[in-house]
Amino acid sequence: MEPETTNAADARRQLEQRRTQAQAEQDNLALLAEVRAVLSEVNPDLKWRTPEPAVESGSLCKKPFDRVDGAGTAILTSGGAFGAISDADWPRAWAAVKAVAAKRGYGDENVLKDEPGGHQVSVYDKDGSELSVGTGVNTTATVYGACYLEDPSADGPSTTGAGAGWREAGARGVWSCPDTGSRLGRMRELDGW
Amino acid sequence: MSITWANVTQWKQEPLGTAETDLRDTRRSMLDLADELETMGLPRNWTGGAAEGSRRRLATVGNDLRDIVAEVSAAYTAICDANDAVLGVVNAVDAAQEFARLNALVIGSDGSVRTSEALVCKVDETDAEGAARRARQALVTECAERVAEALRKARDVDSDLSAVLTSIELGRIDGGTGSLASAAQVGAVKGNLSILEPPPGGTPTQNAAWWASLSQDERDEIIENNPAWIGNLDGVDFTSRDLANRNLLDDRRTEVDSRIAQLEAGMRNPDGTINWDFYYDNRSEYEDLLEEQDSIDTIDAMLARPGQHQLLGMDFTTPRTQAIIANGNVDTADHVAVFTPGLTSTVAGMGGYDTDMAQLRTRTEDALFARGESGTVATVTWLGYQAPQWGTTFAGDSVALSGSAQDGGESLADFFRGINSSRMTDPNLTALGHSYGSTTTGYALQESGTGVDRAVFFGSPGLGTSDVGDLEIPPGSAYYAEAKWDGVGDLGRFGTDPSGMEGMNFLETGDATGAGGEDLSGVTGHSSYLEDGSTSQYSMAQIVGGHPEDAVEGQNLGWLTDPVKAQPWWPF
Repeated sequence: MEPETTNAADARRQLEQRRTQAQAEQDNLALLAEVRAVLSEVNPDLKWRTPEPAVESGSLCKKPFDRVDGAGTAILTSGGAFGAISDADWPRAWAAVKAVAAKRGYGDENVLKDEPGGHQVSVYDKDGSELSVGTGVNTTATVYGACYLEDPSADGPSTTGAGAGWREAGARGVWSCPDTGSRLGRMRELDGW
Repeated sequence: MSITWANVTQWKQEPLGTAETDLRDTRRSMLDLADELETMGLPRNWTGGAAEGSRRRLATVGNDLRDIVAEVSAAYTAICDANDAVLGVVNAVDAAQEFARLNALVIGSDGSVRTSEALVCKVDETDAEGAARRARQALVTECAERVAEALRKARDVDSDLSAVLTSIELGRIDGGTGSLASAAQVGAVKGNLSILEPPPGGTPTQNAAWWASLSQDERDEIIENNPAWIGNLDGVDFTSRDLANRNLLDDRRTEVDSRIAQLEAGMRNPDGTINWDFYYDNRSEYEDLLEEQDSIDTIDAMLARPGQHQLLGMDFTTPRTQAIIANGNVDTADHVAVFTPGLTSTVAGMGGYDTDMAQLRTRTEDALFARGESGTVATVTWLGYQAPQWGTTFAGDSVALSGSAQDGGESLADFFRGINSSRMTDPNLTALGHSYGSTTTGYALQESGTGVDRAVFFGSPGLGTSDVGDLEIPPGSAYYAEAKWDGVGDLGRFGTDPSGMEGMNFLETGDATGAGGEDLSGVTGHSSYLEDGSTSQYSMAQIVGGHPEDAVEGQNLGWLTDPVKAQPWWPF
């Protein structure tokens, strides 16, 4: 299995040259905030669904980084806005998005769609993260993140994941009402005697 | 007297609630007597016959009081549990009646379910009439199962509560010789009603009906104390399955780590050399445990990532670990896609598929939102079967080869059924199958009542049939994608090569322009269909989002199929 080990080691070395996951997320969330701002400047009637951009989901990395421990990827969303950028305003909007994206290392433009009533363009950074911005009836801006190593200073996956936090909340729900007559609560009530 | 449907429709929880409050107050009052009992000693220097008689009398009073406390405590606990259980029965009755109302069915006082439409097969029945009749029959069956589970639950509560009350009445609950508090604990244990277990070998609809007959307290207790009952139980809602499976995962992780440490310690002699006898005796178990540990590590890592993940199933008893994991919430999503991976797939290597599904989910949601729809999406990676590994697949006869797919297909069909059974409103459900996973999906969809609305197969060695009509999904809802240089897609090992199946819709996998003018990238080979930004992923997002009309149609052929005609750039 020597070649595989070598590949995993190479892959890890490659990731070590990149920002940490935490830094990449911070940078990309800031980018999405800037994208929201410039799009809202073009069309002030855009109504963003969330107060600010957020991490939509995270998962493990695909090849060639799939065997690197502590490597992960994330999808970040602007939240999406009700309302469109008009065809007339789109060139100005996209130019503004490109400008803020370029400051964060995004380029290599790929126009996926450019027709009346619908526009979708992506730009990429050197790590392979994609900023995808589109408008139709509504407007979207999403970052499909590249693979990064987790922040070494983080506490670890079991305490940082949203899933873990949600589960703890669920568990609290089970145990927090000892005097309500619930089956589990009653046993707790008796245990206290 | 046997409990009938007419009886249970009259059941009410409120009287039990009142009794529960009264018994709780009584129990507390009696426990407050504990202090008085302790201080009720006799004067220190009092001797003689009267003193002795008083001592005996005091002991008798103490014993009687402990018995009464135990009995009241047992009654309180039993009534509490019955209160929960009756709430479950009432909910199950309401749900069955609502189901009947929504589907124009009538539940008789004896629990029989009637429909005004004929369910008998006619001699000249058309395919459409047959499908409608089967669908109607399925609704009647589901309603009857809901009624049956409500009745099973009602009889169980009645029987359990009667047993406790009879014990109290006959003085069979002994408060012991300790304190009043310990007598109360003894009584609480005696009064505890069991929770009704799932119906043995139940169908997803029976399981859903059983789950509907439980109160939230009972469900919480199962998740906490008996998670194995529901971790893989199709028909139970996925939020509860997720919680149960996380509990099971915690337990299994501890067991595996501990046993590995134990075995590794045994493999070393005191002088540090390897104990080869021990090693060879335990190697098989050790290797299985290491595989489990790898799988658990991957599941842990996937669940720890941000966003909502649901652990919908897990099995460590099979030769290779099985797991089912979702992005998003399968209980509430408007659109649900279930992806079955194929050859060489393992839980330890599941991370990449999970990423594929996360990307597909967001691409689908973004596309829906951009077009003015606000539907939510959940995507599932279903590895609930023994995906073949290299060295075990292409050996033996074709019947043996399809065994994993057939077995997996049965499980997958139940998983599909469980999605619809566990929800009041069915989602738009899409099956995605790659490689041998498409064969498994093909077998699953040959079963009735899966509720799958559309299916996308890609890189398939066959669907387990040569006739699209064998797939029990709406006509015109099967799609097939094959990329150039995908040799597996040409094998036609489990039925006809899907590239040649009549009635199949074919999806473009090369460079293409999307329905909205999108400039899409092509893929080649066997393993890139889900690549982010690809033509095939784009089409899958349209289909999963309920817009198959916007998928990019086209046909590419693999490596072996008609190379001269299909692949003019064939290198030889």
